Parts: sequence; C-alpha cells; structure tokens
Amino acid sequence: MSPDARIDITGEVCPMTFVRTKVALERLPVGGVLEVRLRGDEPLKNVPESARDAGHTVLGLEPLEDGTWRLLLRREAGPC
Amino acid sequence: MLSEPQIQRYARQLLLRDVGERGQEALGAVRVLLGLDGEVGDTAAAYLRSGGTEVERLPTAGAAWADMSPLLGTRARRPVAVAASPGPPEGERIVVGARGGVHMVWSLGDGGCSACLRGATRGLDPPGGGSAGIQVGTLVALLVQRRALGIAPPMEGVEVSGVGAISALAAPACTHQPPAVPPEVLAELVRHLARSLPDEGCAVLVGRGDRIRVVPMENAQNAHHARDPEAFPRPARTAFTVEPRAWLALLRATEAAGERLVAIAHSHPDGGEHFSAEDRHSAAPDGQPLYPGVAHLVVAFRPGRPAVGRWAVWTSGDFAESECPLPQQS
Repeated sequence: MSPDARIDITGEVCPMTFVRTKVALERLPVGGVLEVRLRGDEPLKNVPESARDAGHTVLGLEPLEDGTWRLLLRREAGPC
Repeated sequence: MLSEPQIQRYARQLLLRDVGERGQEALGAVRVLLGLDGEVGDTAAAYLRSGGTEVERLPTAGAAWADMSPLLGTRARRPVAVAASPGPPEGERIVVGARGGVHMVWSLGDGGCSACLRGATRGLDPPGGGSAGIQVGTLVALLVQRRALGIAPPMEGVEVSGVGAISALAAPACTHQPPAVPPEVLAELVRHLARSLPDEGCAVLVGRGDRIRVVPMENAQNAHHARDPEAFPRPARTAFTVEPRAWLALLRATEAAGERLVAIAHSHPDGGEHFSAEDRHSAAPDGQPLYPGVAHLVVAFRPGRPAVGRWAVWTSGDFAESECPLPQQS
C-alpha cells in the first residue's frame, strides 16, 4: 500500500512521538494513509494504541531490516 | 498550519481530543478583550496566553461597554469579551459575577440569547479576589477556550460555591427567541391547520425539555359568532376562539404531564402572514402578554402556494416577528 504521507519519529521521545503522528493524521483527508517510521518499545506500544483511541485505523505494523518499524494508519472521520 | 515552534510549544494540548492542530489554530484565532482586574483577570490572562490565545487587558474594566464597541467590531481576530456583570451588550462574551459568596461565570456565543444572559447575570456583584478569584479566573479561561474550539453550546455557565465546589449551571429555557420545533412537528401542525380551511385553524405546541408536540384545538369562533355577533363580530374565516373549557382542560393536562406551553398557533386562510394588530391585541390586551414566555405562530395559506410561517415572540415590550420555515407538504 502506498501511503499519502510519511513521517519519521525515530528521533522523537514521548509525547512528541504521538504529537507528530496526530498532527500528520490531521493534515490528511479522511481515508488518507500515513506511514510512520518508529523505533523503540515505548512508541511501538503507545503510538498505535493512541491512534486507535483517537478513532483511526491501524492498517499494519511491520519490522524493517534496520531495526525500525513501519506503522500504517488510516485517517478516520471525527476528532483527531 | 502550525509552525514547528508552535507544535513544540503547544505539544501537550495538541494531544487533547478537542484541540489538535485545528483546535490550536482556533485558540490562536481568538482575541480576548479582558475587562477584569485582580486575581480573576490575572489568572484568566495567564491561562489564555499560555494556551495560545491573545489577550488584551482593558484599562477600563467596569466602564461603559459602549465605549468598547469599536474594539469589538474592528478586530481582525474573532473577539471574545470578558467582563464583570452586566458585561458588554453584544457579541461573544463571558460575564462574571458573585452573589452571596457564590461565583458564576456565564458564556454566550453565536445563537445565544442576550436577554437570557442579562437575566442570568442581573444583580451580580463584582467577582472577589484571593483564591476564589484564581479559581474563577481558570474557569473564565476554560469557557473562552471551549467557545474558541466550537465545543460550547450557545449559552453555558459554571458556578463556584463558597467552599470551591464547581458545578455546571443549566442554561435557562429561552423564551425570547422562537422555539426550535422539529420539522415533523411543524408538518403535523400545518396538516391540522389545513384541515380547518376555509376557516382559521388553531393549535398549541406543548413540550417538556426538547420534546415538543402538537395539541390540535377546535376553532369555536362560528358558534360564538352565531350566539353573540356583537361580541364576536367576525366568523371563523377571519378569527379563532378556543372554548374556555377546552383551554382550561389543556392547561390542566399540560401541567399534569409536566409539560409547558411552548407556542399558540393559528392560521390565516386569507394569506396574511403577519401577526396582525388584532392578533397582538388578543395576545396582549393590556400591553402585557397573557402568556409570558409563550410564542405565537401564524401560518398563512395561499392557494397554489405552500404555507408561510411567522413567529411572534414577546421581546422588549412588543411582539417581534421572524420567519418560521415550514416543511414542504406532500
């Protein structure tokens, strides 16, 4: 799946990991897909969970060869 | 779109569901004209500014708001005025006051009723200072932010008791503006009035809370006209009367059901859409409304054209008319 936007939060720490993700999702139209590159246990657990709590859909989460993870989120309607 | 420094600065509140980037932009699009001194004003200003809202402290707190109207009207940003009771006469505004040690903060926005706000804040003393003032100041900031974010109803209020307990205040049921009647209820009303043609029809809208229903009434004008043409010179084609016994029964049933009269409706088969001089006299024979807080609705019927509706609501010593859009009849 080809995302509509990409962000890299591998250099961020909480809470900026989800702040970046939330702002990027809000800038997408409803139905748009965001690719998030992330690293570490905390964002791996919290970013998908926070995205779900905000009403968005987690389309996939997969490890990459360089030790980072690729998270795909679909922007849903309603508050971000 | 927020800049990188703004994202860094407001990161914590960007996480809030009702804020986000668009909400933060909305907070920044408001300019607060703050006419409060002391702890209340200082606290409100501090919270609003730290949240990204511009605040202009007015040096003339408590002065006539007429002097401030140029400020309200000329700012590029959306102005929200904050002041002690009675506050400014128009615009989006927050009004603060105290009575018997209890503080109240009322907020009015688009669609809110100024007369209701005046009623809720009438006679309030200026807010106090100290810890109570700090607490009230935080609530002032909160209500401004809720209005900026578009999550506040047209009118909302908060009360702070003498010991600091905070509770929401119920906005009064507005009787200064036409009631919000669901289209299906209006359609039922129009159908009933149409069945009375060529005579005038009449009905009452009663309600409890947001629920409103139609109570069809019978126009007894012709019977009165036949019995006493001097006292009732007009026939039912140009006038309506509800039998006193039927009216009394309605009032009793309404009270028993915990409902209230919302509006009295009648039709004009001749097409006249206005609340006529005769209507006004009947509704307020001595210059005061017989049923304070009850709206009147005129539905005009015109052959070949849809019915036209007009509200008449008692406001500032007279009936003010406004359009009542009616649903298309099938």
